[in-house]
Amino acid sequence: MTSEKARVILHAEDEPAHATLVRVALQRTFGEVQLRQVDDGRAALDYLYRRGAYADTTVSPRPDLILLDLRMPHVGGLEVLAVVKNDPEFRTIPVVVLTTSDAAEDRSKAQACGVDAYRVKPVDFGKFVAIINEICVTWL
Amino acid sequence: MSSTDNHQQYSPSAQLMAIEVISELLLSTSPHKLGEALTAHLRELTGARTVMVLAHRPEPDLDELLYASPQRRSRLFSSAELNLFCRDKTPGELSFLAEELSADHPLQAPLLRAGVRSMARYPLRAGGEMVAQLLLFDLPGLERIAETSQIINLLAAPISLALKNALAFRLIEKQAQELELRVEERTAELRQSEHQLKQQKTRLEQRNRVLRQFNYAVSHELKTPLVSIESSLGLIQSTLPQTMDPELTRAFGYARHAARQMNRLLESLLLMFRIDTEDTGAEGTPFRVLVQDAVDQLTKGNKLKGIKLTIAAEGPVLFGDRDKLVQIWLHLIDNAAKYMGDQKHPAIDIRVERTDHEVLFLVRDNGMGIEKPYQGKIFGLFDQLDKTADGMGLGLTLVKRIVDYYGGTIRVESAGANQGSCFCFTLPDALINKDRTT
Repeated sequence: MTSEKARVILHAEDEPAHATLVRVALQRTFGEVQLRQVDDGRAALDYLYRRGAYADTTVSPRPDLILLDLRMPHVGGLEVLAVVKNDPEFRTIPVVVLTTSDAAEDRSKAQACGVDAYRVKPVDFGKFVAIINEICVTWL
Repeated sequence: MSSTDNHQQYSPSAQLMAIEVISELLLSTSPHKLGEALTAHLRELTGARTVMVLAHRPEPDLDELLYASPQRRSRLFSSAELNLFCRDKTPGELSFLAEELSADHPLQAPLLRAGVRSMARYPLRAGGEMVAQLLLFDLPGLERIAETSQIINLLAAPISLALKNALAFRLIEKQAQELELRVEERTAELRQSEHQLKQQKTRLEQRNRVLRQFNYAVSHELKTPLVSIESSLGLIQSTLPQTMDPELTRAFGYARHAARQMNRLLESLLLMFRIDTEDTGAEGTPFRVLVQDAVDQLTKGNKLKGIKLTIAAEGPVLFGDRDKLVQIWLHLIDNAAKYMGDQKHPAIDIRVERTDHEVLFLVRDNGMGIEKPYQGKIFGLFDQLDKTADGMGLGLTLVKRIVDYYGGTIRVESAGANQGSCFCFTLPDALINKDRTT
């Protein structure tokens, strides 16, 4: 598989350590993945709608999977999720919420917005890698 | 002399006055109005300069000036002076010229001061009881007094009765007003306490909201750095060469273990908060299903390896938050498995016993047991008897909180070290289907 054909994951995460973890976990499990990371929901929407720095589709290709943290500055994960699931152009892209919150309220809100999967970040490196692997196997 | 003959002697104006007074009596229920009509008519009839009607009141109150005609002369005497006109103070007939009074008569001084030259007093009695008295001052001539006396004596009975009624009516009205006032006060008090209750409710709701927000913040904000710490350490460790200094490996182990332990602690604390604030409804779950759920979770975590487990075949249906109820057996069985010691044939027996007045749940093991002095210490927050065991000292606290929540009690029985232990508890509120009873 060439890098041009590699599947694209858009990952929105404001916590640098968590962003690194996702990156490393992907390298170790799904080598042939183009990971595009942004640090808040606003940048995620800019990416999807090709605004500003994300205008070039060769650099910012359409994602095959969106990974969202919930609480991020400016625009949160739920808002991004709602926009994606309400836009016919993006609706079919699977969205997985990856958050530290296991609050029932967050879970039900995400479900109401049409999330495809909701995963709680574990406090365990091995489990974290396993979850990223499981997400990719299921949704890519 | 018959009364008919008496009538014929009265002047037409006197008869007219008598009719007017009586009609006034029939109309008036207010003592004030009655006094006004009475004094005005008497003044016209007798030519007296001032006429007063003084309502009698028992000691220690002063008599009350109901009305004085003309009104401007109502301050002719002070109330203390007026009181001296009362028959109790100055008994006997009182119809005279001022200068006829003896020098030591109590009324002489006030009468002289007021410039009154003559006066007449008529008692008004009803049923032998003093109701009021009429006072006439500065009469034009003594012959008029005789006629006046005749008319007043004739009218005295109906006037007294009417006055008595009016005074009683006024008293009732006053009491009714007082009662009304008291009702209003009480209503205001009630409204006040209702308002306070509402305020308290609002404050409680606010506090609950704050608590929920706190839970939320804890679950998210505190876990985020823990994920960073543990996973970053894991990442670093996984990139280091396998043949690492064993001290370093151990240090990584401690640090990562601490992060995971911190996470479990957070989760337990959160659960503890949720026991009192959240209940996801009162579904009914059979005892065996709850226990099996707990056992399945523990088996998945490989915690019951080599342990012989016996679960009672029969048990009640329990109503309440299923997750919460499962936690009871989860922690008790986990606890029993954890403290097996060097028991060769570890066994845990989960039972239900019914007595006349309660259903007793038991979790019995043949492990390390608990020495008597420590049996009361195990349910406290962070109390842990064996620091080497893998636990937070929170499990049994959680169990007690859940048992408390369902109105039950929990105790531990153990004959001592290596004698095994038995946790016995009740869950009375979970035995009642609240949906059906309410």
